[in-house]
Amino acid sequence: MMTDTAVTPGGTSTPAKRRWHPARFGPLVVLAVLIALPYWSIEIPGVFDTAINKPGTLQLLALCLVFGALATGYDLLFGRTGLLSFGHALYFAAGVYGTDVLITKAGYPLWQAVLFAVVGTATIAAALGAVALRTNGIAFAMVTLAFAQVGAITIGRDPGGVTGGEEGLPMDTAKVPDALVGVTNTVNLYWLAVGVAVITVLVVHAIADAPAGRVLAAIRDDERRVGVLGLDPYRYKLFAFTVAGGLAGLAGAMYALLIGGATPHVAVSDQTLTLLVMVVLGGPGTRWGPLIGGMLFTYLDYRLVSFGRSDAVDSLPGVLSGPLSQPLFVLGTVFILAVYFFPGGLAGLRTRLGPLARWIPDRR
Amino acid sequence: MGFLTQTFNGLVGGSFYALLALGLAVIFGMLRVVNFAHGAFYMLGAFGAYVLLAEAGISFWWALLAVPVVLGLLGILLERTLIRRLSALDPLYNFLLTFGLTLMLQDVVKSRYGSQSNPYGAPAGLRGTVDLGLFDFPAYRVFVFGVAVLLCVGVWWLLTRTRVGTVVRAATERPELTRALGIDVGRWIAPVFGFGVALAALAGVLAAPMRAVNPLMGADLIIGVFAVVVIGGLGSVFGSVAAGFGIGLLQAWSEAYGPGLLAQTLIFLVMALVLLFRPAGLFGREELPT
Repeated sequence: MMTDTAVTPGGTSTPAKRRWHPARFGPLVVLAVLIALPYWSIEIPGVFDTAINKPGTLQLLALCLVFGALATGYDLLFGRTGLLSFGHALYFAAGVYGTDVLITKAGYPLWQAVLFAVVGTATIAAALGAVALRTNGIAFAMVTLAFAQVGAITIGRDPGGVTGGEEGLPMDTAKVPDALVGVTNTVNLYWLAVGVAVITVLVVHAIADAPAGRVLAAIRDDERRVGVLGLDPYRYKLFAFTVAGGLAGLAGAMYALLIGGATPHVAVSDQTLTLLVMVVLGGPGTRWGPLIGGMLFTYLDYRLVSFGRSDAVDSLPGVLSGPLSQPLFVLGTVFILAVYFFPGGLAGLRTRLGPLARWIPDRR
Repeated sequence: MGFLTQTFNGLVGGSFYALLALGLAVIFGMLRVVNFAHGAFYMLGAFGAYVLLAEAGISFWWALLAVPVVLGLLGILLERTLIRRLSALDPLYNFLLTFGLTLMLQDVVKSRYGSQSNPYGAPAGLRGTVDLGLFDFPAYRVFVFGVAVLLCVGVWWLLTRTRVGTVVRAATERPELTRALGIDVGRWIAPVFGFGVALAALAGVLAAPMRAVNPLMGADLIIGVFAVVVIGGLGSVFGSVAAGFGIGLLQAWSEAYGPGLLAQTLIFLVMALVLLFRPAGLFGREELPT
């Protein structure tokens, strides 16, 4: 945190002029760079396959931003309130399918469809959260997981021919503005994704900096004490759950636009796991960690697919090359390593030393 | 099919829920860890039986004995090496750890045996049907139900009538006090975890002749088992078993008489209802010591 008075080396304190500090303007500079990115045609060999303003790379970057935003919204629950929801994929999927179905099946124009999808997702989150939040800790994780499973099963079974079942549901682009359709317009989608990320970050940071955010942090650290202070933790948690659900819906709507439809895999529990990995990698409860974690993970995940098929992996002995070509195996390994080595910020845990520093077997 | 047949089918389906939930409850009671990898061990149990038969010609009966023992030992090893290291931290860490493990185990099996379902015939003596008085029923299913009931009663007997069980229950309810009485609680943690894993593996072997043996069979089941455990009351051994059989029955009836979507989601609807009225589950204590 920046203090309002700065101490000079001489020891006299000077009134705080708003001194230049990278942490203050850094995000704005990064945002400016992100917005300006499509105007540059630099090639970064080894990082991106094509020049940075070519559709393929912009699509990948937009995808990174969408998942960065999703992870940021999820962290409102996980890192900032200490709620381990194992069913966040449901709200993402609700955004994806809500937007897609409203456009393709019900014929709504894009903006209305997105609005309804986001509001609808937040409503679903509020209703399910009201039930799930009656439990705590691991039971909460299991209950949210169960709800998400209902969502995944429902999408897979294609009730009334609405979701397209296992095949997914391609978006009817006739209802989408022309500027957002087609490979040449990927740049507009990219800018839209930047917008979604900005909105998400602004919402989450606004909540975190508001009094409500302090209560959420207090709930994470010691829920009982919050209750003793006369505040109702349940209400605050439900608020966080609803907002996080709505933000996931927004990210989902953007995802549906970007991918041009919906596929059932967005609803499965692996999706929540990847979210967790993103947040844990980036640093739960930190200002920019989840965004960076989400972007980095999505990028690496994209690269991992080509890594799994690369010659380097194929030339390994079968014991290694088999599992390493399975993305979930790699994901699981990365995840376990993350749990062991970057345990910062999990519910109720304030130390960043990690389990290795307290290598004491019998502390039960 | 008649109502009675459906009911019996429900009891057989409930047997798997009960066995898996029992293992989860025992582990949770002792370690305060929800073992996400429970479904993976169930899958490994089924694959163990399949591989033993397909590659070594070892029969179902030997597999029923050997696979749970081997996987139980593996569970003890897992507790000693990985889970114990995280025991000082929030229990959520071990939930995450076992989730990561689940993905690894699934993918290891998938990369070796593919993701298709493998056939596994019922053992020779149990292929026909038995006359249960009112109706005929596949002998193997009767056997599964019998084993499940025997095991549940056995575990109950173990927990309430033996010294080991008394120690485990005491350690579950008042770990500090138990330790203060001079009982080495830490000694029992790994064996209890191994025992829970062995129960999952045994359920897996039992499932092999009945259900498709594929790498995802555990993942599909475990979420339902979690719901069962929440319905019964997290940490309540009796609640887990009762809820397991109860859910099995409800599922079989809704499959026979209700729409398909209901049968698949019923378990979660019941869970939501139970939580609305009893947040700690049907047989759970209101405030779990943390």
